[in-house]
Amino acid sequence: MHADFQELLNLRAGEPVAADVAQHVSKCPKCGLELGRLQRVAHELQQLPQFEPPQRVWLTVRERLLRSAPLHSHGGWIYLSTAAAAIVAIVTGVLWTKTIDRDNTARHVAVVAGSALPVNDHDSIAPLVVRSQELEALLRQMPQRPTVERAATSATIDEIQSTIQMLDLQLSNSSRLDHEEAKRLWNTRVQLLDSLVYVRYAEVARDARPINTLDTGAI
Amino acid sequence: MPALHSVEISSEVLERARAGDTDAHAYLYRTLSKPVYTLLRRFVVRPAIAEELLQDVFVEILRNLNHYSGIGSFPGWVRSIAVNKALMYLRSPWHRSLSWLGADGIQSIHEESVAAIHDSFDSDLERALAALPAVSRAVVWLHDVEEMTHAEIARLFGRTASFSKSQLARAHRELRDRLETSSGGLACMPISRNC
Repeated sequence: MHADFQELLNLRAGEPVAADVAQHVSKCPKCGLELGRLQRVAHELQQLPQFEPPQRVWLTVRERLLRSAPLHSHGGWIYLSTAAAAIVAIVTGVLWTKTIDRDNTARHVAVVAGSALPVNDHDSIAPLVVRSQELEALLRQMPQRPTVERAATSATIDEIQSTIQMLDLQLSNSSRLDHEEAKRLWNTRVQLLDSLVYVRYAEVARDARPINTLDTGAI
Repeated sequence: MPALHSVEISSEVLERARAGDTDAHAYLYRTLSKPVYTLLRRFVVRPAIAEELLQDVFVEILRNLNHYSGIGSFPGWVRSIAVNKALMYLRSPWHRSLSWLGADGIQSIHEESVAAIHDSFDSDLERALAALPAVSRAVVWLHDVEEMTHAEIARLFGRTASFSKSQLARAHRELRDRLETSSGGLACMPISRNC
């Protein structure tokens, strides 16, 4: 009498089976084949490819965590400040390390940076809102993102945009924010938009350069 | 393919994540999301549902890091949350409206509109696995890939080890039949007490 599935699975897992069954399987070609097949299936199941979760899942998770965090907690501010600081640091790094057409870019960036810096001097939120709108208008006027772009640039832009989205989520609850908190959020938003403009200009400038000067800095 | 149980997370990263370090949160997601999503996709098959469950799993994990006692591996704790979320979905009225309660578990009739989803799988084994009833599929995945024991699986399902063993045997029987059919082989059972 051949071994049944349960017995073969027990044997495969190294679990105890009746001595006569184990003896039979060791001698029976059919049972041996079936045991081998079960072992192969388990191995093949383990080798099946993994599924890649879509990027938007992490963005949603972060958004949900942020939404559930108390608005007045230090944790929320630390998170946003850290995110903003990290992004600004990344942007600075990207701009310094890339061999971009600095002359061309600097002319455009000066327009942005020149008017963005004084925002800290104002007590009111209104100038920050206006500055946000100006920067957004500037971004809308820029050429579309290239179909092929550097992974680092793409990741930086995505990170800035997702952080801005999180800020907007908090600002949408503005009735629960006091003046100081709202001002800090708007200030961070302006800084992020400013960084986004820098990165986008750098990208546009790089994209417009002849291919043979891209990475060598020659000519 | 690294299963969830083989992922390693250092205690230092866990401490940072517990303290609210967002980089540590991102690291945990990067390291664990793929095997968790794979597990969820094997349980519920439909990608949109698996995505929602993945969100729920990570929100729960990151909100409750302080509830991880340190007993047992951290990926094991994550896995139990993921399995519970998936089982809650499979037991939900929404899913059960497509199912009927069999003698030893939920047997899916429509099983996630598998016909459309099957086309997205590359191998016969993946298609055969996706076509299994949800509970059998979950058990075979937990046992053969996640290398859980029958006792551990039984605890997750709130059933006995015998339940897990019979589901595993049933799953392998069906897998064999489906693979033989897809490869054009004989449909008869070569090994049986009756042959």
